[in-house]
Amino acid sequence: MSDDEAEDVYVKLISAEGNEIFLEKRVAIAGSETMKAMLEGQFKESEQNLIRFPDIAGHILEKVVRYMHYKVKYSNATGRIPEFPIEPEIALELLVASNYLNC
Amino acid sequence: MADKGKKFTIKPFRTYVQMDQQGASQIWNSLADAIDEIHNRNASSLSFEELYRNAYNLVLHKHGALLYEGVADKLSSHLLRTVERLARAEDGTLLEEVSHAWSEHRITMVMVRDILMYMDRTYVQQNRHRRPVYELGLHLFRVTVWEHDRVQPRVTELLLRAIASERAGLLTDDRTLLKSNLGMLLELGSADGSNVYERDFESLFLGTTQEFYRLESLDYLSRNTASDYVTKARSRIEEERNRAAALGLPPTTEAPLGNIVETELIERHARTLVAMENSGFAALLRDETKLGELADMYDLFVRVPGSVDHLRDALAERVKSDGRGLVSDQERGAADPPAFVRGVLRMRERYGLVVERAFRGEKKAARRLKESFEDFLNADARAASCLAVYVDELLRSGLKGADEPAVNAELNKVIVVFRYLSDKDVFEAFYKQHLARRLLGGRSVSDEAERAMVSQLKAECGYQFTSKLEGMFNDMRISRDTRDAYKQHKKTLAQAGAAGASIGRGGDAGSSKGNAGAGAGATSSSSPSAQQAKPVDIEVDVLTAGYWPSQNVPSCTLPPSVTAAVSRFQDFYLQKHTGRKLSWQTSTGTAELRATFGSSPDKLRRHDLSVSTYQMCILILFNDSPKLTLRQIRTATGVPDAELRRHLISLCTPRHRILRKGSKGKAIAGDDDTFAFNPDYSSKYKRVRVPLVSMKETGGASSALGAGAGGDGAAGLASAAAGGGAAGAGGAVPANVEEDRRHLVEAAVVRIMKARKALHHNDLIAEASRQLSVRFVPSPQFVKKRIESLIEREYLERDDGDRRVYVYVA
Repeated sequence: MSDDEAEDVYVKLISAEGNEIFLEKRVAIAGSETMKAMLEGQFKESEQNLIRFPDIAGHILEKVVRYMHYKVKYSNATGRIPEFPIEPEIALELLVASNYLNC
Repeated sequence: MADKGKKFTIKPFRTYVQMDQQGASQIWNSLADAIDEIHNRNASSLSFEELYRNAYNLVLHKHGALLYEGVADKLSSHLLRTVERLARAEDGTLLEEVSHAWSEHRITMVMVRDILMYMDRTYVQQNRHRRPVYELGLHLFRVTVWEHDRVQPRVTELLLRAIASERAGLLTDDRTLLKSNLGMLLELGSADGSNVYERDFESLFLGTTQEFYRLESLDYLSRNTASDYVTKARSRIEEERNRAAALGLPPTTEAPLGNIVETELIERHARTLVAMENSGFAALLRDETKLGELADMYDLFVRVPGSVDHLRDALAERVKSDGRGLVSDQERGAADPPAFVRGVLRMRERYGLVVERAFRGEKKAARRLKESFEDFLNADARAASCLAVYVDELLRSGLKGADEPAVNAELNKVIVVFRYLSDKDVFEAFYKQHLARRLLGGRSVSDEAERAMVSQLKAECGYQFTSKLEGMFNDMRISRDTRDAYKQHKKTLAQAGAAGASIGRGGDAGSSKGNAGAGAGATSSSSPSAQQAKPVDIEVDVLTAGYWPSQNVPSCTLPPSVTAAVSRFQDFYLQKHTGRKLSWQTSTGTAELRATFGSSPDKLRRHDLSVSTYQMCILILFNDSPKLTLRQIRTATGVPDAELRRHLISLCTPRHRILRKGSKGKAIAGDDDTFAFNPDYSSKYKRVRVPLVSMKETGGASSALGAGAGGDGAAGLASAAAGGGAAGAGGAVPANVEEDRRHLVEAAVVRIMKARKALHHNDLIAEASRQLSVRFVPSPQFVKKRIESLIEREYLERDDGDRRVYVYVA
């Protein structure tokens, strides 16, 4: 992905295996309630712009991030919204993760 | 990603960590420590995710209760420490400390809520008796901190004291402090449904406010004028409103607060403010320059709608008493009718201005004003006659030289007063009389003004009201044309040599009223036999009977020369308009006589006497005999007795002693009293006008309109005939108007009944009154009497079933 030039534009998400995903802060905040709380509280995460998810696998995290982009993109759209594809194999884990992240 | 074709497997979950009690406690402990850190503002050293995950796991593994209760305990112990500190704090710093503790707590709670978000979403939802975390925090704060003995009472006290000192004018340090404390109370109350704000602040606040303003207003009022009080009240209201906004008071407090302030300041003292000596509303009304203060008072009162009634009452009282003053002035004779009307007009302008400016043009006030005017103007029928006299004066001389807008303005004012009258038909009757006199005497100041007045009346009351008046105008115009035509006619007859001077004479009903003719009919008294058959010139005004005020006086016996002229005109006229009947109004009209005085032939004085028709008849008799008794004069002229006496006396006054009276004293002794031509009469004018004396002096029955009217001879209108009734001494409705009213009421009743067939008594009276109100306002008894008369005459009958219902009889 890209690099964070401006200080607070991007956050780094680290999955259980150590995969690093960069995500625009505004997308994170809009996409997940939990991430919103994390980034807006006075905790370590918001200072470092870094969130670790030792319980979430990499591919799941990636899917979640894709979903957040999708959600933010089509939040206020009118007309037909394209379907978000979810592979059945990861469905359960994805469910758990989304429950955790409230998104 | 992992896509193994159609067959799919679900990857096994992560290793399921069994969480036993011990594991749970461990996790809980780490969370507890974290909460401590948060409380100490060390959150940045913590990882949100970790805490969130811990809470998540606890709840997931069914240890939600443990978590919840643990959190509750933790918070409580923190708060206990806080409150101990607060309890020890001094009064001076207490508010600040409380405020600080509160904001700290809130921040803590936000963070705690965030990490426990999962629990809020799941555990709390499933256990409805558990509060959400944030509300839990606030609840605990209230219970632990606020309700402490050393906190709540003191804080409340301090708050109220701060507000009181602000009111007293001492500056407070910091409204924000108050605001934050109050905000805290509001939030606490809404968090757990307790009503701390209302209980511990609002009710007391409203109580103290009420007390404060009650005392202050009484005190202030006793020491200052009403206007000062008004200013002060206004500033207080403003001040309270500002404070409420600055302190962030909720609307539920603002509304009662506003009410209390207004009640204490305004409503309670409304009456006093109005009645106060020298500066109350009632007193200010008397002073024309105080409109600004009146307006201020109104603006204040308008906040409490009920109290404006007091102001309106004061206005009505004032107007009525002023009006009654004017009326009694006029009664005593201190002011004559025109002055009365002018007074009324002035009042109207003045109080109209008051309503406009002080009452801000409020409709209710305008209505009260109208009612008050109507009240004193209609106390009796006097106002109608005074108004008519005033208009007469305007149209005679008052509007001289005024241009059209000024004329319209004046007439407009008159119409405004006219609207207030309820006896409009009385006004019409008088107006007609005055108009007749003006038209026939040629006394109007301008034709346009006359027409303007009539058109305004028409606009006000409708065509019917003014149709007769317009008829009168028409008659005058037609008469002019007729006169011209007659002149032409006479010229063509001039060959017959009958041209000459005639005496003008009054004709009447349906006809002519003579105006002063040119020319002199020679009547010389020194040569008794000189009955010259010199022809006499007359100028005639032909009037249509229905339009003009009626006179029912039989015509008198005119001298032969005059009779000749009269019949010539009559022939001419009847030729043009066959089928009409002319009756001559001898009670009006003027004549010019050339009289010769002097005993010796070489010292003859000739004078032109301008006299009324009756006087002319009398004087001409003396051509034949130098001395006559009253009886003889009466039989010779046929003039009714009372008028005869009046005209005779006017010929014997010291100033114009054309005849010498036999008896001594002013009055005529009796039928045998003699009158003789006085050749010694002299006057320094060649042309002498002989005025008529007023009826009162002749001992006549009805009062006349004064000697002034006699001047132009057309005063004959003020005859003793029953029809002519001039304004009576009191304000009673004149007889002819009364008569007309009876007819109008009956006509209205019959009309209504014919349309409705059957109608209840009350409804009938209401309907009839409504229809007639344009002209006058009948009293219910009056209408009842007319109904009964109609029943007698079998126009209506009472219904058999219900005695109060009337039925039309076809």
